[in-house]
Amino acid sequence: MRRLEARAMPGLTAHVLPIFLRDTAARLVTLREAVVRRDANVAHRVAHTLHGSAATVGAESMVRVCADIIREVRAEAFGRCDVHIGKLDADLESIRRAAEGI
Amino acid sequence: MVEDASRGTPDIRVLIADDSAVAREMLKHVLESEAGIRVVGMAASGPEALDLIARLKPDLVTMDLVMPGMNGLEATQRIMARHPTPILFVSSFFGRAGSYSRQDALAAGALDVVEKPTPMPDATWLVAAGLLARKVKSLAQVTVVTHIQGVSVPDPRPRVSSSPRVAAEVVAIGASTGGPRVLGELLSMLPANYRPAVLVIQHMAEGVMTGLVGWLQQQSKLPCKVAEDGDYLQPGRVLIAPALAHLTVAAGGRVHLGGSDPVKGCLPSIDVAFMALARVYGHRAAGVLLTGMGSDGAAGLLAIRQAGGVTLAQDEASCAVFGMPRAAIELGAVQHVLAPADLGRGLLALHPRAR
Repeated sequence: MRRLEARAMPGLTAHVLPIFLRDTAARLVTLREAVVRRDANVAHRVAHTLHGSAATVGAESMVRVCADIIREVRAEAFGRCDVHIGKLDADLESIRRAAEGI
Repeated sequence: MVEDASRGTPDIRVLIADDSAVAREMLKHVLESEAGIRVVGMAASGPEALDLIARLKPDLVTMDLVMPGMNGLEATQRIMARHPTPILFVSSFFGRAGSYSRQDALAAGALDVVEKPTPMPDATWLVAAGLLARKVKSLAQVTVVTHIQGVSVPDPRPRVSSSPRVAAEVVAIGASTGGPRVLGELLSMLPANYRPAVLVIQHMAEGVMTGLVGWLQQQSKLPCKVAEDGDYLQPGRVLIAPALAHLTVAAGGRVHLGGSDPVKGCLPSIDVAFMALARVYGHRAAGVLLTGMGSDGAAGLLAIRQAGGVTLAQDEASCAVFGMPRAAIELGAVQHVLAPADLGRGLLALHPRAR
């Protein structure tokens, strides 16, 4: 995060990060509900948006997990999505703790 | 952010349409870091974008593709039908397997597509962010026209009585900003037994050219391909000049690709191609100049006219940018200034059987 802040536009991370934390938490709830309902359209769209948001703040692990979810949803393998969403929850918590140190 | 009135030049007012709050804030930060750009509103959906555009009247809209309810393509079509505004797609979703192509965005009425900048700990991010800001600044100057959705608007003008009546051996079409949509319309009007060879020079980035050709093939009954060195102009075939080389034609219709230095900032150059055709084909060449910025093609079209060939240009009312056609008209290069449907009829008149 600090490297990103240093090399990207100054102030960008500090500006975007709080929005990312808030927005991602809400979208994870939506994603989980869509997976339970087996709603591929919503799950795909939310995962895609999360993928982009994670890339914006440099959360590479979340980017990879979101890509996995997109793949599973396309294959309608909803059963495997739960594990991935769990990883996203954990990554989000890590980012939240790291943000407190920036 | 308050405009600095002392500068005298008003800021470019931008509306951001993206369902991701993170993306909206990132784009706002990027754009407002550039002097002369101000974000006047942000929409999280297509319907919200439509509403804000009507109220705020921005100079340009940045549009995401994937949004809930109404995707960016549909939103673009509605915006261009009701409140025509320059639209720049900012999305990383185009071109992916199973997704929409960049040509879909252009056909919907957008002026261009750029990748969404992704902050990375190296210089590429700054390059991408800079490109986005420059695109916004240049495209905000474009005059766009209303796109009627799903309705064939009859042309109230009388049929063009001065449409060309001579057959042509080769028809060359040059285009830039806003060109693909018109190209699709023109090619769709040509029958499968169209005799003239067709050469297209469309200013477009290298990575997008293959997609453009594929899309044009869907509109056309004639086979379409990207021209290669050594190809020949052949009756009833469409050759499209590739992105990073000038295209010339030698005696016999043999295509030559070469030269990497832009001419008037353009590569491929419409002037270079048109002038080659004028030299080789003389009165048997026809040139058509469509929408685009600048003046590329004007001198080349004049060369075709002076060689005795037929010359057509797209009219101002239908152009996304009336730069190239205007330059050609002012040069005295154009015999017929027509709307796209009439341009198509003009091309049909160049087919020997239409006489």
